[in-house]
Amino acid sequence: MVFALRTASVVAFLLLWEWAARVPISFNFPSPGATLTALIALVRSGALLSATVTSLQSLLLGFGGAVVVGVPLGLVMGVVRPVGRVARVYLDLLIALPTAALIPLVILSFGINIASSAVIVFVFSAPFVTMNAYGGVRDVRPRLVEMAQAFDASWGQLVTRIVLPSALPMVMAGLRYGLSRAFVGLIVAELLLSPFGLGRLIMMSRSMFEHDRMFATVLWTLLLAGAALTALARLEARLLRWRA
Amino acid sequence: MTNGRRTFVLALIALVLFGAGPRPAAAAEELTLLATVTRVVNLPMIVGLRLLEKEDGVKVTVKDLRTPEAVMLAVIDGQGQIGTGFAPFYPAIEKGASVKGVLELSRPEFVVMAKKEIASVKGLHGVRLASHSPKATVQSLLEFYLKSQPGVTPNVVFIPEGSPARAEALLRGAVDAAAFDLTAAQVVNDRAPGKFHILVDFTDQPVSSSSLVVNGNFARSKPELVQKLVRRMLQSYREGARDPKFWVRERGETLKEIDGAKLESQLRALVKIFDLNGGLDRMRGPGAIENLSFQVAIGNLTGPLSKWKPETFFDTAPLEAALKDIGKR
Repeated sequence: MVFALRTASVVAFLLLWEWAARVPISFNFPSPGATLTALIALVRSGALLSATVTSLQSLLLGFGGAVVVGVPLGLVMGVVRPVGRVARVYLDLLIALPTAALIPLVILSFGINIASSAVIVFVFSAPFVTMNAYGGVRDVRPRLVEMAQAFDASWGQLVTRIVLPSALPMVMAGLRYGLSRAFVGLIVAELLLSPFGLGRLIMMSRSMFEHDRMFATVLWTLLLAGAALTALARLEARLLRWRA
Repeated sequence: MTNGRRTFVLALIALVLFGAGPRPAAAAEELTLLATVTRVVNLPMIVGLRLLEKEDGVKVTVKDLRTPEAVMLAVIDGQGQIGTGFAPFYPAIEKGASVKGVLELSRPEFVVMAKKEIASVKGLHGVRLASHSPKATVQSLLEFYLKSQPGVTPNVVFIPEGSPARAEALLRGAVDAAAFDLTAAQVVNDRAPGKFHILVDFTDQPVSSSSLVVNGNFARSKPELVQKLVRRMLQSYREGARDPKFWVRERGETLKEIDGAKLESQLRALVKIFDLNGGLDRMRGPGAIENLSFQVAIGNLTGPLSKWKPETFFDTAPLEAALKDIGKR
């Protein structure tokens, strides 16, 4: 049933896309076939792979930083309540921040290099990773904590045996959300900050009105993001097997 | 008379008065121009549009979009009848877009400015040079120029935020050189006198930097309006070239935040890039071929050059008609 529904939705999407290209809904709107052909040509030429390697560097740097900083910070915020109350205000502001507006500031502060792009990816993803980790700790069932305390559990045991396992589902959800935001940040940075990697390919195809190549690059980015999110979902299922 | 009747009579009187009163004259014609964010270099064009409004009663709306590609797409789709056409104008036509260039808005307004320590073009090799984006006009000019400078390969970094952002990057030391427009060069000189200098000047290149692009359907249905538009543009260019104060005076609310004297000095520096004959020589004949050969050389058009005819890109009829009326310079 699920498989049939998925297949039907994909077919419906492709039909709609084909219709949009035949009308066409805008100048030079590419069909799914033209996009696929362009994608194959881009992969064969090596342009797409080298752009992907460049983009993944800033993604790994930025999202890696968001995980390394965001998860522990979120956990500390949850465990040490005063820290949580103070830091939450800043996180709320960061989430509401129109991040694209930061770009000129980032250029001036970090220069025009991969670090700048990684900073944008970090700013896009870190608040969500942190907030979810924080929320995970806040959602730990008080009765579990009380029970552990009744059994004389130490503070360390309380954190490792009760708080962390309980917060893990939310932490993992935060990582998935943060990763999808990281991809958004990556493309924003590469389009607005300084065109390189996949953003540069998109920009060049757009400038030349090669919309099939542009769509192919966007599709490739979606596939990459989809693959990364699936991998993370698998890891999540593995780590949370105990819940089943 | 009851209240109901009184209200009815009053409403009737109001209706009669409204119906009999003079009606505002409907604007005879309307035009929407799509452009990238307004800069000093666009002012003569804006003044031309204001003349069209004032003298010919055409209602003009100017809408800014972020990128030249977006402008081109919107003109192709008819969301605006006219637009400013930069580098993406050429590949758009190659892909079958129904648009035509009817007037050259400007020749290149760009220069490469570098730190004083970089004494010559050879010194650009290996240094960080800020440019706009991979297929922007300024980058195309830079690539074209560097082909004539063997062994000079700067480390080009793209800052697609416009000339002011590149000027800021140069001033802050984020890059060693930058390609931007003449007005940004003036700003750099004002803010850091003696620290930077112009290494390459693209303003004498015999190519069009931007053109006034018209939607094909619109050009066919309203040829007389296109001609009026071209004529007012020429009027603005000619009067402003004689005295740039004219552009400052007639700018209306455009660039009101810039001091008049400063604006006038920036415009005075730019006068040389505005052709008083609307760039006719680069839209037909050998000049047009040279113009197109530049686009082929930088990859905006596929080769060979022989497959391109100027009339595929430019419609010179409105400009020629306007020049016939007001005379060539």
